[in-house]
Amino acid sequence: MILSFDDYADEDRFDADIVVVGTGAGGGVAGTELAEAGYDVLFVEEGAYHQTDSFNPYTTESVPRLYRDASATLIFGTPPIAYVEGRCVGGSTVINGGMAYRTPERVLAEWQKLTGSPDLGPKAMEPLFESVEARVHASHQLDMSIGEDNRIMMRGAEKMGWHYTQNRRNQETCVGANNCSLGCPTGAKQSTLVSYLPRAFENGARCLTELRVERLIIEGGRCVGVLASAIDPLTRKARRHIEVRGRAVIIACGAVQTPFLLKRHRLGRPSGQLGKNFLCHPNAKVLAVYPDEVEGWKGVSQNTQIREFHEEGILMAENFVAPSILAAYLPVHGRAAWELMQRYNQMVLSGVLVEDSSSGTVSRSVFGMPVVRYDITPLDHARFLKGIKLLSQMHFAMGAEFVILPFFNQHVAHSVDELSRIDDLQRDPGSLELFTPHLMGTARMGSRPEDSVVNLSGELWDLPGCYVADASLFPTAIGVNPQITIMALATRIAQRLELVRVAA
Amino acid sequence: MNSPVLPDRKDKWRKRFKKPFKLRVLGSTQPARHPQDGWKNADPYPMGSWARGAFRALILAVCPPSPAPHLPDVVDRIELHVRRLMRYMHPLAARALWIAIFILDWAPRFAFFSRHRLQGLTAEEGSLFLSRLGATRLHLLRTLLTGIRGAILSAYFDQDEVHRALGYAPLPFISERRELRAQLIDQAARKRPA
Repeated sequence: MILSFDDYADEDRFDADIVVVGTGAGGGVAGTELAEAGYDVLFVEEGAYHQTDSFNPYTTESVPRLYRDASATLIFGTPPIAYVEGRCVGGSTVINGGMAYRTPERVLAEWQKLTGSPDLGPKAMEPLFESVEARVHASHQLDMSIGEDNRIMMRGAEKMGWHYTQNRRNQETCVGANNCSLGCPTGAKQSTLVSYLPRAFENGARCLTELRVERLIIEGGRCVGVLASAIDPLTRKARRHIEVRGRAVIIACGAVQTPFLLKRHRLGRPSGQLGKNFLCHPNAKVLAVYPDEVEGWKGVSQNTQIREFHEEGILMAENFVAPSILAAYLPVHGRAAWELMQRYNQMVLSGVLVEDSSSGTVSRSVFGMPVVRYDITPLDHARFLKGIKLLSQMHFAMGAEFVILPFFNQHVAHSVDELSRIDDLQRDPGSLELFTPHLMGTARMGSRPEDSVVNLSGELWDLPGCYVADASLFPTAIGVNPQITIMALATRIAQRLELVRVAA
Repeated sequence: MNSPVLPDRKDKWRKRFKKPFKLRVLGSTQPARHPQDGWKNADPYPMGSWARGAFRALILAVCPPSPAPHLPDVVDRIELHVRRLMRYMHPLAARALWIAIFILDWAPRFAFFSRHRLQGLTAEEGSLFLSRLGATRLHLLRTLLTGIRGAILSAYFDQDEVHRALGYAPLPFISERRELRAQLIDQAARKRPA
């Protein structure tokens, strides 16, 4: 049963065993596992329910439907970083690139050491990864789905002598419609919308959509529900007030909204870590224009990843998008924008992703808005410059006419020689233009209340009954796309809750 | 003695900038764009005629001129889209965008580029001014400009006429891919032992 704004009374109340706030990689997975274990699960989702056949390539229609705050979200710092989050049933899994990478073993070993517990170590996580990967069909792409832009990336890596891999993606018979960021219109991408949530609904779970959770209900020192407001679809104002009660509440709103909600109640006090340790894998785009037709929109996005520099914390990948998304990041407008966009079919859009070497914070502003702060370090800056130069060199080696660079004061390079000016011109990290879809680590998991926000079962140290199950849990950056890690941790939290019931 | 009645400057001022903009709702002309899943688009963000004048001048300055496809109602379409988009933003972000429109409108005067505001410049002059402004070292101003420019260009390059001019045909491609996937799944099901 899925309810929306029109279904609610002005003041309404719902009850369940478990209330899950969010339906993405964390909430969708945890809720489904619990529904299958026999719990009465109630999902609460701020976005609306959109099915596969409603997804289309128009950003003017899709961005308001699928993205939080119409993607007008920014991390403040040097440089400012644009970020995106999903806001729909399925959350960010509906709009992500569908990468299915496990947490690297070295990261899990570090988590094991940090927490002093084998629970987050490689051995304990292995069965969780296997379970999640089976559910989302983590597999390589069919050869026929790979477009020319990805083939250029692979041939380019070979020419440069670099190691690359073809990504495993959460997809089933993906034929490369290249609409991942606006919702998969074929249903091949196994977002929680098509992989997990249908199983939850088959097992009696319910979903309240278009409900924004404003605060937790805390009674007798225990979390017993949430208070939410239904959002009027026409005015976007909170109008109806809904109370949702359960025996346990799982918060899975992502690494920005989760601490934003919990901070309202001044939680996370034992360690003072709530909202800290914000990580975001910032990335920079390099747009190469080739002399021949590439038609990057015909074929899967992000099939290939260049991992030659992974040990240094640098990844490179292709990520082609619709002209309306590409145009939003152009450094030019007017006539120059048209002249550039006329070459749309000759473009290869690629990116450099850098593993965080520092962390930021998420706080509540007095205006009731989350404020995210994050500065890149000199090390990150150096890695970006290196990655951008190397990626551009690869494009030139493959015959690109010119590349559009992610610097506000140096937009174009026409040759490898011009790339050598990057070191002279780009001494200020503020001139970088960055973007991120990976937000992590603001309610870190641990085995001691002095240095973590939640315990190894995901429960807040200072609020029994309240669990976190999203990317906020990460103790450190993972250096790869976080979807599978979030799903694995959410599965663990659901299993722990089930154990509590069995023990009871 | 009665004090002299002064003319209401505010009213006079408003009258001067009152322009007969009529916003057309696109849903009726291009139903295929809007998915039939019960989703209702939000009402456009409220904007006075003065702000709308400034915003429309910005749209003209940012949109590509001829030989890019000239859409007779492009300003209406983009204005409607961005004002709808503002409804989905955090109210503070929407207000910041609204303020940015004012700042950019007055910026040609503050930057000694012209004695006119942006809405008094031609589209070409406005475009030239915004290009210069894009190179500013002030993060905040650059971010505001990037945000507005991105929203306008994104809406422009989302139009079917523009897609055609670029040689981008996503709808037939997606339909073809849906059919292809159905065939592949069907073939795989037939191969599977009963």
